[in-house]
Amino acid sequence: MTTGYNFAYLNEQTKRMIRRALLKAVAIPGYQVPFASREMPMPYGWGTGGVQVTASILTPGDTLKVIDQGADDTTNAVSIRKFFVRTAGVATTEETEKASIIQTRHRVPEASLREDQILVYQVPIPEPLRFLEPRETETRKMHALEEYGIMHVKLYEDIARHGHIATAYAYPAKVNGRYVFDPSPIPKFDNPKLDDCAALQLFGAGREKRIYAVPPYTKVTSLDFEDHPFSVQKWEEPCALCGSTTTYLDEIILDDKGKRMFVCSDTDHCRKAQEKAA
Amino acid sequence: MYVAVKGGEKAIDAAHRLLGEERRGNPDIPEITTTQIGEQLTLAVDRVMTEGSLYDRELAAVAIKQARGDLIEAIFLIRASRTTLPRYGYSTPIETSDMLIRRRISAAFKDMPGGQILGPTFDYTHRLLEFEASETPAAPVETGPADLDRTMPRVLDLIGAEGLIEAASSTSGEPGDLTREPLAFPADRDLRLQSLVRGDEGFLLALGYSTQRGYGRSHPFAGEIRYGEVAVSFTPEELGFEIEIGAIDITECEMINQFKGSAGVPPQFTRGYGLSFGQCERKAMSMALVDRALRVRELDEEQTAPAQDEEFVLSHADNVQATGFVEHLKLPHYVDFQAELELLRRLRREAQGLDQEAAE
Amino acid sequence: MSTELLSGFTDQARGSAEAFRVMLDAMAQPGRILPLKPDFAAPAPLFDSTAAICLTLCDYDTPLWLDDSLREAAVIDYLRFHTGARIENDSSQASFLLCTPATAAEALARASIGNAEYPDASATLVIQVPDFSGDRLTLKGPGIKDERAFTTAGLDARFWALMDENHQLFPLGRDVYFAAPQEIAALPRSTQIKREGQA
Repeated sequence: MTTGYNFAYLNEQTKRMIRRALLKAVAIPGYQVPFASREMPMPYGWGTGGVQVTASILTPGDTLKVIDQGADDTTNAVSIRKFFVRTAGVATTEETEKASIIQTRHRVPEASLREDQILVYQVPIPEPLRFLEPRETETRKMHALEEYGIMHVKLYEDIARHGHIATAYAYPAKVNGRYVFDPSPIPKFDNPKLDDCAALQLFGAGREKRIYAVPPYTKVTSLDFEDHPFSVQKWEEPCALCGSTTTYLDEIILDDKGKRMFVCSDTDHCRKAQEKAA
Repeated sequence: MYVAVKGGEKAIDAAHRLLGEERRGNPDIPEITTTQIGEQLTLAVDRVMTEGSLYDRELAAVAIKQARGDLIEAIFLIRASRTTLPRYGYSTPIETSDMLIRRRISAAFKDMPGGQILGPTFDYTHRLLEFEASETPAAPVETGPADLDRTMPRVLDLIGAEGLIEAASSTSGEPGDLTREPLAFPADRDLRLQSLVRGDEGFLLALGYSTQRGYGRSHPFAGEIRYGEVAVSFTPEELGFEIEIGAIDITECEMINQFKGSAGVPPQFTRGYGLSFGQCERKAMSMALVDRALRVRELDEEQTAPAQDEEFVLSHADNVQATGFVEHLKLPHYVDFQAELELLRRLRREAQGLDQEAAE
Repeated sequence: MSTELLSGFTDQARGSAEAFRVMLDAMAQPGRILPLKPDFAAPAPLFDSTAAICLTLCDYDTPLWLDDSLREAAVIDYLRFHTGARIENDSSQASFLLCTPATAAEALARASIGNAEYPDASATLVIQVPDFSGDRLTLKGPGIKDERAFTTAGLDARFWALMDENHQLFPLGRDVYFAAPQEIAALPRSTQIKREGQA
């Protein structure tokens, strides 16, 4: 463990500020709490929000798992995991079941999570209305008034034009019947896992300086219409490695003749399934 | 048989080793020292200190060397280091009227008390590459009588006496600090100025330029640009009185801008303010233009141009944030891309299906 | 300042991290009673658990209000020294309010609820209770699978009526920690509270 820095890198004053924001975020599910995000020793946009949240909740007894695109061995996941090994000396794991804290970018693990686990999401743009209304002063008002008309109009225009809601990831949902929120750029395949999840889910957006949360067992409803209910991605073939037909698959291009295969994005889940089958 | 890609950790280690090699360059060439950077690349150091929000020439030099001369990377290194430093308190406001002047010019008056002092400037150099000069030590420069009192009044104060220019606003109360509280909109001028000082020189330069070309025109005159040394003082809680803790070099720019007046205010000149550590003159001037442009709300002017749009300017001025988010596109996004592929294939399939139906 | 100032966490970074996890779990699972036993002793009448909450969350950005029973010189000196927080006289201006069952209703009524655009700009109450026996309550809401039974001691009907109003204000409102000497539980504004005998 590297000395010279505080436990988990952040100084105590910063942690107190983030911890206060986290408690408010938990008390107001789906509401984006502003916080004075600090410059981290890694670039904005590369998980600084998630890292600050993890650093503020981490205890010496934790076991940390870090994934990016569902995989433990992607370069940025490796880099973030190494950061916490160096600055907090915590144990790490690649196994979802053994982790007490899981920091993730773009995926929710396939295995269902437990009450004693916390899932920390890295968030690039926390505001679900941002691409419809770029002004913070306006979107803040919309949330205050629970005025989500522009979002419904946008989704409905998709249907009129394409016959579908043309949002495949970062699919907006309503938390606890009140705030529309951005579940981070996870594929909409993962949205149902957020609903009534036993684990606490925390979201950190460093550059945009927002923290939000979904407490355990909280209603998370993906926005849809009665005649166009929310649905998730499906694949026509199973995972080429473990044979799963219920998981999110990545497409791998094998040659320049159009040959491709589909494999699980959650590498830990896929490995376990293969071991079980063997 | 396909095997999932592994070895992220090894690849990262190897990349770091390669980076170290590239940074050093040809080992037969002597290594550049941070002292040399601090002494000879002073303007790079000044910019890194200004946008890094930390006055420390040595650290800035170390950052520039470590960043291979990439100044935004160096600014990022300084910011990341700064955020771990303990905060003992706030200095009392610096007094730029008491500056020990090294350069001071006004474009608004031919002459004024204290005179025009060119100081070290590129302004009238002929931009001809000097292949020999860099090797030759320059002769020492006569800087005039040593007893010349170089503190001098500020130009804008001189015309302020006549009431032709608005008073420099002195909002009472503690100034905010966006490194401690997230920026909220609308932002007050103290926070806007702090944001602009930290903002990217290139971004502010382009925005300032745009106001000159008519996108939020404000008819600026360079009232005064001064560069020199000012004392920094601090009042420790336990002492209860002010002590001087050191001196810093700064550049200050005060723009004089036209103002047509509003319902309650007669026509008068208004101010735009720019400040930087060291000699970042281009930055201080650009900042002053953008500061003035952002005062539309306060001066009851119509907001028409990008430089006048507070949320747009302040949300995008920080180059550490901007570079992080632009460059994060290098990170894997294949899960989301897969989601888009699936959607696009489905939409195209359905569109073709519909076309066929129509053709039948 | 008192001559002997009691110490705070032996290792501040680790001690506060462990305390915070308990506080976070408590807020995420309303009504769950969790042990919070810091490795230090707070000056009476401040509970160790209450002190752990303050030392973990409070600093010069969070004005702190204490009710009369807690406003003892030893407590004030201790909190000032270890947190740097300003001791606030006006409870409506405080970020954190420390109180006891006798003053809880009044403190709750006066504490800040935030505003529509910033519902997080609201206060947190820490109510010192002797233990978690007594009033029987049924809780529903985020953090609770179906329903959870909760008991806590010494709080009167007016307090619970105000807690009900507090929940109606959602997303505005205050969040409450109950602190027994070595245990805590939380009721955020999102929790719906039913008292025994209530419809």
